[in-house]
Amino acid sequence: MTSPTTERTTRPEQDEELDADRPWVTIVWNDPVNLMTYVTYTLQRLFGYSLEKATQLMLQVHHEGKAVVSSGSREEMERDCTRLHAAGLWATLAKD
Amino acid sequence: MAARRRREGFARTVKGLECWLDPDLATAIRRSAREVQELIASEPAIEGLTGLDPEASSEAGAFTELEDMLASGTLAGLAGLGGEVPPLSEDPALARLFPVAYEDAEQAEEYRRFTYTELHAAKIAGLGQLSEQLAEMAPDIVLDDESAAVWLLALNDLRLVVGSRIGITEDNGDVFESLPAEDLRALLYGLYVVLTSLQDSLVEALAGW
Repeated sequence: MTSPTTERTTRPEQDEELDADRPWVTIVWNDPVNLMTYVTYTLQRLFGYSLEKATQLMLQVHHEGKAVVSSGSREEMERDCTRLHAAGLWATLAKD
Repeated sequence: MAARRRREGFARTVKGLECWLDPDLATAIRRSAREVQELIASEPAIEGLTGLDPEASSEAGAFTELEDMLASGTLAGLAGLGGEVPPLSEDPALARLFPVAYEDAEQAEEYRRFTYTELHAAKIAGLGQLSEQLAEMAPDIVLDDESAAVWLLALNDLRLVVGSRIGITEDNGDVFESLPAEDLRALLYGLYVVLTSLQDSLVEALAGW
């Protein structure tokens, strides 16, 4: 098997720079109505996540009450939040 | 979140997303969709905007059209920018359909000012399409993927409003099941269960799990 990132190494400073570019997060909160299947499917559909990742985030929302589902610029997070609201999920955004 | 409660529902066939729906149930869902549409429209963002023509849509991806329109501001363009945005509703069902995005009140208000009109129009349009297609097709529903994606969101909006109205929690279904059959909350809970099983089957049929 091959992986496009096999030989790639990143220095800690680079990671910090990346984080600095992604200072906002979108959070999905638990609610009693939205179906677990629907939340998983919506996270896959909107963010292109694998079934495994979407399920893991859905379970985090279900058990812990909330989960960070995406991070990025404030504009990007506002867009994510609006798409989640259109889908009926209870989402907020915040500075990380 | 709620766990599934399976009855019959949608399945993917060669024709599309197919479902047989009892005519009385179809009528009940159509009426509730209209009522929720009216509820949302009772706090209008723009005078005279009652929905969008689903036929007018472009050939955008089946699952992303409404979101694309939201992201690109297409709906705002159709509606005319600068409409009045009402204050956050005191009705918990409406507040749930249009959640507060920021903890900070000022940021929340600014976000709301920029997104409410589009979100408002999209929800009204989706419920309108659900209601119209139910009237056309019931009892034999056959949806293409694009319509199914709209139904999925509209069914969810209906469940949010009905669930909010009866005060559903993750584990109080038994309370409603023990009510006398003629109790309004029992009737609404019955509708909620039907909507839940329809939506759940549609998710699975679309996802192909």
